[in-house]
Amino acid sequence: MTRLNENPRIPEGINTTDEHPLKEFMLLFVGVALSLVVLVVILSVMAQQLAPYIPFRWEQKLTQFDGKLDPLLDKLSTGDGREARGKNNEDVKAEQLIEQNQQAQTALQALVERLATSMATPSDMRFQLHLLNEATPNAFATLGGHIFVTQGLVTAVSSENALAMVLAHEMAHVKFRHPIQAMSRGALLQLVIVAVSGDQGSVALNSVLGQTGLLTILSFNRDMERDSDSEAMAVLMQHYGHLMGADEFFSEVLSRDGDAGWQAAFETHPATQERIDTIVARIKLSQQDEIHAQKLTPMDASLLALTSRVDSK
Amino acid sequence: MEALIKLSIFTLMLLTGFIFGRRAEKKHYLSIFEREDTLRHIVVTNEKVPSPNFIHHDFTMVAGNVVISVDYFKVVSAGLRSLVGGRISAYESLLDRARREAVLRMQQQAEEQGAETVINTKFETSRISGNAGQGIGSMEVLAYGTALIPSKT
Repeated sequence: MTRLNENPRIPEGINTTDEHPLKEFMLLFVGVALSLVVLVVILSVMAQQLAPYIPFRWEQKLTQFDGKLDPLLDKLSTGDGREARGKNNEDVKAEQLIEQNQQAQTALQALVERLATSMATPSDMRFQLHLLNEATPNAFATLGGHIFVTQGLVTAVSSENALAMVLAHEMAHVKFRHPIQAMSRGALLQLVIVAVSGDQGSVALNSVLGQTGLLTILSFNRDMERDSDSEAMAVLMQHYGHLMGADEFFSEVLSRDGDAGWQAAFETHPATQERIDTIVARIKLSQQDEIHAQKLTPMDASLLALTSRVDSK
Repeated sequence: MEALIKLSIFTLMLLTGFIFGRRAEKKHYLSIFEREDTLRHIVVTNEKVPSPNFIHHDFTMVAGNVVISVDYFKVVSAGLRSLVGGRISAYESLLDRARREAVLRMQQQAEEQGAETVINTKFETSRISGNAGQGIGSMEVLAYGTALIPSKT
């Protein structure tokens, strides 16, 4: 056995690979992203198909503690602050405002009940309306049939029809069980993300997976909005016999904030212009075969009181 | 919007990791090839007992150690790989570089002491920031052996 007098030259590429690292990365990235999207789509479809079978009672229970509304939701609504009792002028004024708000909320609840008769809802479904002490025009529906409307929205519209359009839209969300679908999907996606990325603890990977999931959610919610718009118009058509004024809220918001401002507040909603166009098209269509006069229904006096309060400020 | 900012920060970090990591790796390999050629006469083996012609040589321990940091691109690449399994080639080149650099440093130490050869070479490797949890890791390789120096007397 002879000893080498020089270190041998060992060929390259035995312990390493010549393949470009980007090639491997891209292959992995595209593969993982694609399979994740497929998984998310499957889970989303499953949530969408199966969530409506969750009894509405359970959904209601989720938002209740000891038979009472979630304290957080309760605080948001204007019903809070009833205990504010006093003798001086300001307290009396505050009490009047609370009284006014409660009347307005009752009127809105009554409108919801009326609209509900035109909407084929399951027998156990109940809508609970809450008026929020908030100047920004906004409305949303959550689990358990709770619908929130801001005072800003009530004052932003001039007719009951416009208000009814927004309310019917939110009621349609509840009817189609959109809140529970969104929640089920959100929970499932969260689970997937934790399961896939949790183990290796890579924060970066976690954020990538999060982005992929987010984009998929966004595209689904637009479908929900369209369905709810169309259901709301059907309800309005049945209840009022026409669609006049249905586009008012959207037109009002659009003229004030512009498209961007609106979208910032409601990122998941389809572009407002697109929705107005659909509504206006439906209005025109309904007018063609409508011979008798179409009148806008004025708002309830207690709701008008809110408007005049803002105007006098 | 927030998601977009997060995504662009992530992309920027990935790109930075790739550009600088790739540049560093290329430069390092060029330097390794060059120095391996100049130090080829210091024969490195792992034999435990020196051959009879070294019987009158002096001996001393020589060591070379190196720590190389992982870059962000390699971390993400390996993270993706860990979902599907297989060779993590991004880390293989890192280990290759670290091992060869450690041997080179050991050889350099031996040469500076006038050694002819290094026998009984051993390697140790570890992950320095192993306890850093989510932090970016680095690779440590230690090579050590017995340098045989021709006796001056």
